[in-house]
Amino acid sequence: MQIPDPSNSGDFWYSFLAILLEGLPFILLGSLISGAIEAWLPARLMERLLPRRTGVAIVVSGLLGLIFPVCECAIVPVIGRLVKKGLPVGCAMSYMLAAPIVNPIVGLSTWAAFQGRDPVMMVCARLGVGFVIAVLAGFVLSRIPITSLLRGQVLAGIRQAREVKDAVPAPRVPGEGVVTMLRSAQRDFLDVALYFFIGVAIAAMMQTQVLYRPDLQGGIQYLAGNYWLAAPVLMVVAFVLSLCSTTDAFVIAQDALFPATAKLAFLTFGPMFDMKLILLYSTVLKPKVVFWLGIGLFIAVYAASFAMGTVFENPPPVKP
Amino acid sequence: MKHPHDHKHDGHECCGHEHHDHAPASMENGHDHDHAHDHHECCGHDHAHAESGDDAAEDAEWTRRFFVLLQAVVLIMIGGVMCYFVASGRIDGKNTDSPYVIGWFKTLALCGGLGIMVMGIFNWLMRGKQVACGHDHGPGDGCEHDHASEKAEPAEHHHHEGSVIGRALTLLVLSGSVAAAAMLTPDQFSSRYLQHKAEAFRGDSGSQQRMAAANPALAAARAAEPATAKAGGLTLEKIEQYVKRTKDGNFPLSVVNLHYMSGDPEYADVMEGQMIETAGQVVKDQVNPGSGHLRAVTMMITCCAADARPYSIPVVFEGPVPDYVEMGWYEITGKLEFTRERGMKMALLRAKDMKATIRPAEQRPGF
Repeated sequence: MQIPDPSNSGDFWYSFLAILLEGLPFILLGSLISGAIEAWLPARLMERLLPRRTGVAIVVSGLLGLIFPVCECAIVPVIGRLVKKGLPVGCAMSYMLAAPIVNPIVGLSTWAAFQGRDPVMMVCARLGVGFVIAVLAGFVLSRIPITSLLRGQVLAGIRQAREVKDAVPAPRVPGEGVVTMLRSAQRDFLDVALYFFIGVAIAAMMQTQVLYRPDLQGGIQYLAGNYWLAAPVLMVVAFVLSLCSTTDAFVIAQDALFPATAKLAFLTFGPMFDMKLILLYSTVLKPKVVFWLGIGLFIAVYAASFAMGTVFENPPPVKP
Repeated sequence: MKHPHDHKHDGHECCGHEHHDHAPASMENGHDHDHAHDHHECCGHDHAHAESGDDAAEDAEWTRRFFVLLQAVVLIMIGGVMCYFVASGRIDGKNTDSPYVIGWFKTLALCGGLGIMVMGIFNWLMRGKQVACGHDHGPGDGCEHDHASEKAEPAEHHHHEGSVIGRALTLLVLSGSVAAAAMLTPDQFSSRYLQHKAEAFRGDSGSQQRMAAANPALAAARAAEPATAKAGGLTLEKIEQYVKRTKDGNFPLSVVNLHYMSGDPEYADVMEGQMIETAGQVVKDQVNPGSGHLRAVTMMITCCAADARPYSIPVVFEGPVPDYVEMGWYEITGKLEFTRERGMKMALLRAKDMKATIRPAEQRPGF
C-alpha cells in the first residue's frame, strides 16, 4: 500500500487513527460488559446490592472505580445498561464521573508522571477532587426526575426492567445468554462508536490544526502566567484534547508554564467532560442535561482546584 | 424512530385483541407493528389486508437481514484495519518512523480488532437464532403490545434498532472514516506540526527535575558528589566518568538531553564547546528559518501519537548542508553551543557532519 507523504491533512488522519486504535478496544470492552449485564444481570440487582440510603449509595458508587476501574470511553455503555437495569441515576452519575479518575491505574500514572513535582500531593488532590465533584454531581442529579435527565430509549429500558422486577427468569436454552450478550454488545458498540468517532475527529482536528499554531502561543503563554485564567485555559485544552485519563498526567506534568492548580483542573475536568464524552454522554442523557452538566462541572472543578491551590501554592495578593 | 415489528401468529388460537387493520400501525412511540396472521379462524375480524401486511413483513425481514450482513461487514472491516496495522508493523512504528500506539496498547489493539471481527461474524452466523427478549413489555412501556406470552423473538429485537436511515448513516460514517484514515494516514506527523508542538512545550527546557530524569548519567554524577561539594565542583573529568565518549571522542547525548541541558547551568557551562553526537529526525527549521538552519526532532510517546511530546534543538551548518530527506533519521555530530530563542537559553548544535542512520533503539518501542 502506498503511504502518503506527511501533510496538514495527514496530521489529522494520523492523530485520528492513533486515538481510534487506542480507544476502540476500550469501547469494545465496555460494550461487552454492557452486553453481559443485559444477558445475565437480573433487573434491579444493583439497587438491591447498593446501600438503601440514597446518600450513602451515591458516595459508595463514587468509590466503585477503585474496585472496577473503567476508563471514560468504556464506562458510558456500561452506565447506560446499568441504569436500564435499575441502578439509581444519582449512583450511576457518581460512578460514571468518578471512575475514570478515582481508580488505581490513574493514581499510579499520575504519581509516575509527577515524579519530582510533589506526586503524592497531586495524586491525592486529583482523586480527592474527582471523587467529591462526582458525588456532588450524583446528589444534584438524583434530585431531578429521571424523565428530565435520560433519553427516551433509556427510560423505556428502565420501565421494562421494572416490569420484570419480580418475575422469575425464564429458563434459557444453553448458549442463549452468549447470543443475547453479543447482540446487545454489538448494538451498544455501534451506537457508542458513532459518537466516539465524531468526538475523536473533532479532537484530532483541534489538536493538529488549531492548538499548536505559533500565532496562538503568545496568547497561551500570557494566559498561563495569569493565576486566575490559567486553570480555565487548561480545562478548555483538556476538553479539546480528549486524552485518556491514564495518559493525561504525562502530557501536562511536563509543562513548565502552568501552575499546579491549573494542572489539577486539567486532570480533573478532562476525564469528566471532553469533546468525545459530550457525544458519548448524549447516548444516555438528554442534550440539555449534558450541556448543564458540562457547565456545572466546569464551575465545580474551577472552584475546587483553587481551593486545593491553597495547599499547592499561594495565590497572588489581591490588589485593593 | 420507527421500527418494523413482526408478530406472526402461526397457531389457530384467538389472538385475544382486536385488529382493525393489519396494515402497519403507527404507535404512540413511533414503532410500527405488523401483525400478520396466517390463519383467520377465531379472529373474528377482517383480514382483507393480510397480503399487504405479509409483504411489509417480508420487506422488514429483508431489511433486517441486509443490516445484519452490513453490520458484520463493517465490524470485520474495522477490526480488520486494526489487525492489519498490528500485523504490518505500522502500528508501533517498527517499519516506519513513528508509532501510533506503544507497548501493551499494541496487544490491546490486536485483541480489540480480533474481538470486533469475532463479534460481527458471530452475530451474523447467529442471525437466525431465536432468543428470549430478556425483558417484558407491559402496557405502560410505550410499546403498547403485550409480550407476556412471547417465548422467543426474531433475531433482531424491535426496540433496539434505529431507523433505516440512522443505521445506514452510522455504518457509513464508521466504515468511511476508518477506510479514509487507513488510506490517507502518512504514519507520521509532518515536520511543521512537530516543530510547532515542540515549540509550544519548550517552556520546560529549564527544568532541573526534567533534566535529571532525562539524563540518568548526569543524575548519577551529581549523586556521586559529596553533599558538601561547592558549586563549580562539576568538571569535565567527572562527567566523562559517567557519560562515556564515543571512539571519535564525542559525547553521545540524545535530543531530549540537549533540550533540558540549560536546566543545569553548571553542567551547561562545562559542556559548552564540547563535541556532541546525537540522533534525530531532521527537518528544515521553521522556528528560525535561514540558510543552513535545520532542527533535530524526536518524539516521546506515552500511549498513542496524540499524546506525543516532541523535542527539538536547532542544528546549524556553517557551510553547505548535506543532502537530507525531511523527517529522515540522521546522526549529527557538532559542537555544542547555547543560544537564546524567545528569551530562553537553548542548546544549539553547530553541525560538522550528518549521516543517515536508523532510528535509535530507545525510539523503537514494541512488545
